Amino acid sequence: RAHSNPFSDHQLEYPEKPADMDWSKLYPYYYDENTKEMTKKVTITDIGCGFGGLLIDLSPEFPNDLILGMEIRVQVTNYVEDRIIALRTNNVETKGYQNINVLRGNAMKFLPNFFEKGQLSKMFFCFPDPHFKQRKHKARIITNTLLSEYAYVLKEGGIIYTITDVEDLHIWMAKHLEEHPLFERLDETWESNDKCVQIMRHATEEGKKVERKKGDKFVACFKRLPTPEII
Amino acid sequence: MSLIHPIQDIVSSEDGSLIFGIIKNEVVVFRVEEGKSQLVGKWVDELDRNEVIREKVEKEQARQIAENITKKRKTNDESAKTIESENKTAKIPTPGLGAPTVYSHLRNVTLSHGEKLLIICADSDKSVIIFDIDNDNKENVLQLKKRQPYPKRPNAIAISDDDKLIVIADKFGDVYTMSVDSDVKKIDGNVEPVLGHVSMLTSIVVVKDSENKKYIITADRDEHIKVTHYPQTYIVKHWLFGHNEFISSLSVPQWNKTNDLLLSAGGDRYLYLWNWGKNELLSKFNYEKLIDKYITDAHLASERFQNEENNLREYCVSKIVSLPSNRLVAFFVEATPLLIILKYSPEDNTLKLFQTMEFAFNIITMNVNNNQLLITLDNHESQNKDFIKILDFNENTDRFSTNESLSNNLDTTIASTLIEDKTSHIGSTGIYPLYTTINLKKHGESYS
Repeated sequence: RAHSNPFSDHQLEYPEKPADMDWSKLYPYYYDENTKEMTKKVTITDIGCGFGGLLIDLSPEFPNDLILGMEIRVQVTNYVEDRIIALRTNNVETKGYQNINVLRGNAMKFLPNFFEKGQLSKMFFCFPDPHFKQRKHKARIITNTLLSEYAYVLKEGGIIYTITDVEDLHIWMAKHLEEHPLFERLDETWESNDKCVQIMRHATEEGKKVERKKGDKFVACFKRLPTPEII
Repeated sequence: MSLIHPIQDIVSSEDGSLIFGIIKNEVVVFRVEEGKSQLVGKWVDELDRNEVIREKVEKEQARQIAENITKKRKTNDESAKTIESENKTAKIPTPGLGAPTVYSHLRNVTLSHGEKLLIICADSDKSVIIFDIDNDNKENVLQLKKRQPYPKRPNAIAISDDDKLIVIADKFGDVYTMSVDSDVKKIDGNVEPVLGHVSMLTSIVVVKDSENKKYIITADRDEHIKVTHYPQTYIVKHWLFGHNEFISSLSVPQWNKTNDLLLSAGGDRYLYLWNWGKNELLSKFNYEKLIDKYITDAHLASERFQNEENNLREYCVSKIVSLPSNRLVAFFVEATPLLIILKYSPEDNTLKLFQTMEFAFNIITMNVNNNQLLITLDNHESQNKDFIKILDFNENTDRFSTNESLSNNLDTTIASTLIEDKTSHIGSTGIYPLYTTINLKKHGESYS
């Protein structure tokens, strides 16, 4: 299935609160048997990671970060899981791909169940479902109300990356991010110097598909501003 | 004998002299003086839902026609003109055989802090309705001030402590603010909510901390309680995590002068007590044993979600209120006749059982004023008696007891003044659904 309704009550597994999440199953290499604790926390997320292309390309670029893909579709999540298992098996000697994994979840509803305040440094939103109809706009992954929740889990200076081949959606996402008091757009010079932007343009399956069809790709990146003084 | 419908929602002025009740799509107001009551106001939501639907259908039709024309113009299709000239009347869908009855509920009856305004939400056009309360008006104390429709049904409301702003939480999870005195405006996709959840909102409170900073606390069907700064609603303070089921009710106790306590409950078997500012779960009160014998076949889960033994019962807390003094908190479980009152003990931050009271019928709703608890009952089997119970706190016994004479007086007033008022009767549509909180329970769609 190409789409999934984010408002449905899916049978999902999610922790009651971030402290209850057992990350050792997803990143066993970063679990310390002696202290019974993780040596690292997830800092990079790919929301709606699809077939996992971005995760796989980010993995060697950010060896010191744990990277998590979240995907709402069961079949797609299973596929990415298998893909990562295979990559880990084929790269046992180099300990490659131990820092990426995928989770089936509804990020629009349960992101704060997984991450503490300011835990993330980067969030990727690559080729999200455009939800063209106006009455479906609340189902979009970028809305002014959800941005406040993303701002909560992002640390100050953290980055939101967006890319889409649908111009209307690009305008919508950029508009909402620009209007949100906790985000500031990064300019084209910044974009051209950022390695993630390059990876995002070319790594994802959706990105490759657009390339084959010679379609446009619209990128917008935003920095999480410091939280202002509470009035 | 015509039966008057049970009272679905209730609120009272702080001194108990005015009582506002919701019966179906009608608001009734009673004045209480020296133990005697009289009807002093009434308002019926007469809005025809079909008209609201017609407007919507016509708007959608116009949009579709415009879209088709633009499409055809683009492809230079000659038929564009014919579409334009065709002027079909919009078809209003009518419910088919066996379709569920549509009820025009009024909900969330709320009195402003200064008791000058009454606010209710109407299902018919998903609006928030504000009345001026004019005590000098001999005909009707309720004077319609404003009716503001919203795109989604308002599910919970709160009012700021200066009575200038109404905060509205809707069925789709969005929160809007509305100034009491502003003009009615069209609210569409261009009006952004101030905050939101991706889940139905069930309860909202606006609260000030000890440093006078303001917050909005919202609760939803997905176990989430979110604390957001106000007016900087783009800054989430934190979530209060701990519920495993939907939340139906929140309450900030008035007796807690530092305002740092919060009570919450819903589908879980516990009442939760929080320090909401510090994000601490202080304690949980398990009510399972207290309620056990009142859980009957009326609580059986619907067939779709039933187990093989056909004995799965589902129940939840319908409403929590905190009493003005004595560190007391009252709540009840939906579709039971038992009122449970707990006392907060500051030494160990727990809630302890203080009193239970069993009524002749199931409790529908309750509220408080400065001195009393007001309970309404599902009295449709009682021949127009037992609409309402007023409970007074008795200093000698240190417990609540029913004020029989006032309760009876109110029942008599309701029966005698509404007997000619067909709107308030149990008519052909039967009883409005009174036990709907449990429908918030999630059962999971395993196929998707």
